[in-house]
Amino acid sequence: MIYSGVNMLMVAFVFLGCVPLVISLYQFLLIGLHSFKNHYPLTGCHFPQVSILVPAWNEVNVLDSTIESLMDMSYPKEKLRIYIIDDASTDSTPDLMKKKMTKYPGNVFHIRRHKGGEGKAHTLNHGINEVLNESWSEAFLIMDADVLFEKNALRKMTRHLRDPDVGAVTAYIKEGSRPGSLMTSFIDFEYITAQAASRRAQNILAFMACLAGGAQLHTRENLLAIGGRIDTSSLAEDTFTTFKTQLNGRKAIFDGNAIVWAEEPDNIDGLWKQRLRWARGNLQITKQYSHLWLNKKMHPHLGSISFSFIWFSILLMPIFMILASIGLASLFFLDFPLSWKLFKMFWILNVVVYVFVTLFSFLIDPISARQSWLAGIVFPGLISLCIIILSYIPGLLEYLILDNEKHLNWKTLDLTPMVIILLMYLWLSLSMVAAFGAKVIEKVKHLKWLSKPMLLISGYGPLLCAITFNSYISELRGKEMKWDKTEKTGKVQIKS
Amino acid sequence: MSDKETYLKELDEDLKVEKKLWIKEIFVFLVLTLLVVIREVYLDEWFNFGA
Repeated sequence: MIYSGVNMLMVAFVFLGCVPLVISLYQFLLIGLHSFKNHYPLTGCHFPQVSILVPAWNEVNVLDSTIESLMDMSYPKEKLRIYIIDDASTDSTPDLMKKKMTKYPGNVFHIRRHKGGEGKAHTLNHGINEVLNESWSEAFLIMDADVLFEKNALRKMTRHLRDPDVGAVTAYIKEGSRPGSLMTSFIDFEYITAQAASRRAQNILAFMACLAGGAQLHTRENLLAIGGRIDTSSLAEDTFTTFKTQLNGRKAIFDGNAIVWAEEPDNIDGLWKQRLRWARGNLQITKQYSHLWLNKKMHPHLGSISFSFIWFSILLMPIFMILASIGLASLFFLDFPLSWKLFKMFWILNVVVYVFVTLFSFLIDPISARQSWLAGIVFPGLISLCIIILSYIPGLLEYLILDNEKHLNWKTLDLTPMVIILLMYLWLSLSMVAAFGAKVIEKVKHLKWLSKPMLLISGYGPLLCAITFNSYISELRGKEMKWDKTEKTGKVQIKS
Repeated sequence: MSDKETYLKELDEDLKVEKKLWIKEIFVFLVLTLLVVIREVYLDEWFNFGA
């Protein structure tokens, strides 16, 4: 009886491991509906007076091109004001700003804090306080200092504000580093899946998990309704703003055709710092809005089952992967044939999701896919990719590992197949450890060269899972909320 | 070109992009179906690993 209870629990663990796959597939299945259900019929030719708020701390490398790209946009110049909110930069930002204000009088402004270093949200609030006091602004574009806007990006965002129910609009942020790297290729592909695809699905479901912090446009009414300030209590201020916008009864819209370009980290360490901040912010939000989950009374869409499933399938992904590994490894000893069946079922599901997500992502954004198709293919990691291919061909795994013998018990296996099978069962968790290893090795002077092959073997997806797992530890330890700035070098380019 | 005309032109282009999404999705479905058919009907027979 106890034996069967443990078995069932382990089977349940393996099924939990399937949750992120199913949710991912669910989102991708919805995307086709965006052809028929989108916000475009409610848009209009609309050019509100927009104040662009650019928080900047020692960003002189990127500010010049950012300001030039903003002034180059096809948007009426008399309706555009750019505020560089200088967080007490110690570089030559003030000198650059003098030049830019002379070049673009009435369009470019410099707001300087004399004491900075408190992070992006505090810097933004300093600027918002000053700009909101004047009645000129009808909308506010909050962006990052390194983001370059395509000429028509802002006008494609403002058209949605014609609908009075819209509180905020976000654009499609693409990775634009030139020259690129393995890491930027991974991010490039990730942004197709996480933005161009997933946010379209969220448009369909009438909720938005996060307005991209690098390009979010708010109406004046919305910014005032959320308190006229950006939340400073968490590390994910943009997600807080998104939640507040929707909880106040306004829509948050994603426009996948409004494209902006950003410089993203080009090494594991940089990515780790950035994503750890995001993941910790998401945990803080989960806690702060604990009353919201699965509570339609709080909000019809944010309180829906779909939103909770999507949110938690990402937030708890490392736990799901670890549980699936534990389930498979335990069943290996308890009921080997069952463990083998479940293992194959899990990976067949992986094959379906992998093919669907990867191929559809390539088709959704073929321009980005041309740059990052290889990263898209090896996104799960080379070992996982091998298991995916082996699972696809019927009988091949049994032929290679089990030698087609009917094994009813693990004790009848030779040592080598036993070790291989256990490693494959545990790979969902081990891949995260390997990804963490790639991060550690990147900092070791003589072994640095090994970090890229290790990342390729372990995969980018497991790397993100490892970072999320790190965020649990940081939050449990109550680690200080430190704003680790992502270094920008100014190598971003518009690649249209 | 006036702002209104530009808006309509851009809207038309963007709607075309969105309208293609369901066709792309159907294409992905077809590829997936083809892969399933190949797996279930042909691969087992060709490679005969299960024998």
